[in-house]
Amino acid sequence: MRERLYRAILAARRDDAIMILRTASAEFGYRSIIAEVLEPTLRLIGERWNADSISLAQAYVAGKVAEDLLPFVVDDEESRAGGTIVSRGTAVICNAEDDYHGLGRRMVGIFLRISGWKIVDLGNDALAPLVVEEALRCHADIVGVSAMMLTNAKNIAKVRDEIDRRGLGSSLKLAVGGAVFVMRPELVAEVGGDGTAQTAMDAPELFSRLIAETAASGTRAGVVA
Amino acid sequence: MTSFERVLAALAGRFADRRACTMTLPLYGARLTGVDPERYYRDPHLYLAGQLAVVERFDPDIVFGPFALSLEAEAYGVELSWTSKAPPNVRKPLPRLATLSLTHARPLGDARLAFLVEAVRLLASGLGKDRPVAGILTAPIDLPALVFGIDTWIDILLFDQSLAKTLLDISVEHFVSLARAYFAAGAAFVASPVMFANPRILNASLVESLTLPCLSKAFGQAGGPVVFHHGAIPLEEIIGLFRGLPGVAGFVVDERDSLDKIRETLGPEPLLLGGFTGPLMECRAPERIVELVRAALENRKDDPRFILASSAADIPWDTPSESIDAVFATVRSSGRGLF
Repeated sequence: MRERLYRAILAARRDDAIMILRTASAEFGYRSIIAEVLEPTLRLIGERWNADSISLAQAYVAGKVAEDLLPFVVDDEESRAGGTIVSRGTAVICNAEDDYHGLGRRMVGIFLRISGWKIVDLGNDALAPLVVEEALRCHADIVGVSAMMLTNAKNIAKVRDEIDRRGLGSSLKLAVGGAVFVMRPELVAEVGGDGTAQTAMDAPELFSRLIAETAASGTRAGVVA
Repeated sequence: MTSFERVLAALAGRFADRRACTMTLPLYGARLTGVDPERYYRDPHLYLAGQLAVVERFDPDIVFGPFALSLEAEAYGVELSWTSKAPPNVRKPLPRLATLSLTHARPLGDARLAFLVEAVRLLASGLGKDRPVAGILTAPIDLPALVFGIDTWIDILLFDQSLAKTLLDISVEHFVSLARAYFAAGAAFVASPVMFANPRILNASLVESLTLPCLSKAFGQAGGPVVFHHGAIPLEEIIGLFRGLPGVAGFVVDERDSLDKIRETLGPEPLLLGGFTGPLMECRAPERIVELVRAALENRKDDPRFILASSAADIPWDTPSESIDAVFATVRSSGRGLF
């Protein structure tokens, strides 16, 4: 089934991909199919994208398939849980101040949502005080900031400063991402990031690792503040 | 020997007094003259002053018109963002619905396009006798990505190929009219960064059926030589796709590319430009930059059709001028590039 899904995504056959997932979910349930079929397929696509053996457009189709599936998953879970869905955590995502390249951020948002995260998306050109304020308001565990170019990536340091200024350093993690971090990995530490992912598909794994670190330290955002 | 003669020698496959060398210094001219980018990329006289300062300070063998592709998108209604140390960037692409009202390329009388052409005309009038001036413009297959956003353009290419063809026709019209205007203004060649003909960006089948034919049509009608710019993506594995494109005189390649492999694939004719990544100059030690320059010169020592050049985007504003000096000094002291 993974192979069929993989081939449908690579060939940009969105309808076929969704049909494969929905048919299987009717029998095994959405969460099971996401965990056993969709997520491994997305990871494979992420690995091959990272190795330059598939195109950005094919990775984009993977995002669209996940996005197409999302309403069915939400409907299913709401109907079974009486409207209450347990999430893996809450994250605020945005593009850095002055950054307007939102494709990566939107893909990250889709892959996190399908993995069970509650996502608050602040869009492009997000100012550091607003980002941290919103993270506190929605009790976020992680802030994810994306930037494509070096000049804008440096603005992520303002988010780090804002987190630290409010004493949230141990409870609110800062995930960073975007093309420039792939080219210059040392930039993650330079802007004060707690971690990065090579591709959008790797974001759920990164966010799970970061929330585990927060849990180990025994603090959560909104509690400290 | 003038810069013009040096570059012409490279094009003709002859060794000159030394290796021709250039760097992407459009933005750096604003730094040298202390002009805010928002004024610099609006006023062709300020742009000229900036490039005159570049020539006086570094004496590159090729001078470039503005490297501000977003201005072409602005001509179609896109809103730009301006910062104090960078060329303008697209702030907000147009919504997909705007494709319905896009039926023709914007006329060259548009203020943004007129600035680009006038900047090249002033450069060619002032400097063009001694050194080639190059106009820079968006590849026709990439213009819709600038105007409507990368994800919308990918979506259209994948799922609405009829609309994709319409937008590509308009983009070709835009490219051809701007390229011809650059040549009429005195440009020796045009350089065009290309993204959506790369299988790392777009599925190989769509590259073959949609974007390569579009490039072929546009470059063939450009009215002068085109230099294919790698667009910050390595070309080594795929450059064979572009070998037969009409009108292409040369390729700017990525620092990560093997110059040997690229030359082997292309054959001896086309000009190769490259050696080191421009945007990384800001953070690299001059010694490391010189190391890369020496390696490129040594690698191409028997290849007359090679110009040492920075690749990818502009040299960043905060790049120490000593780093730029180091590149030119290394080339000037190297003769034909033999170490």
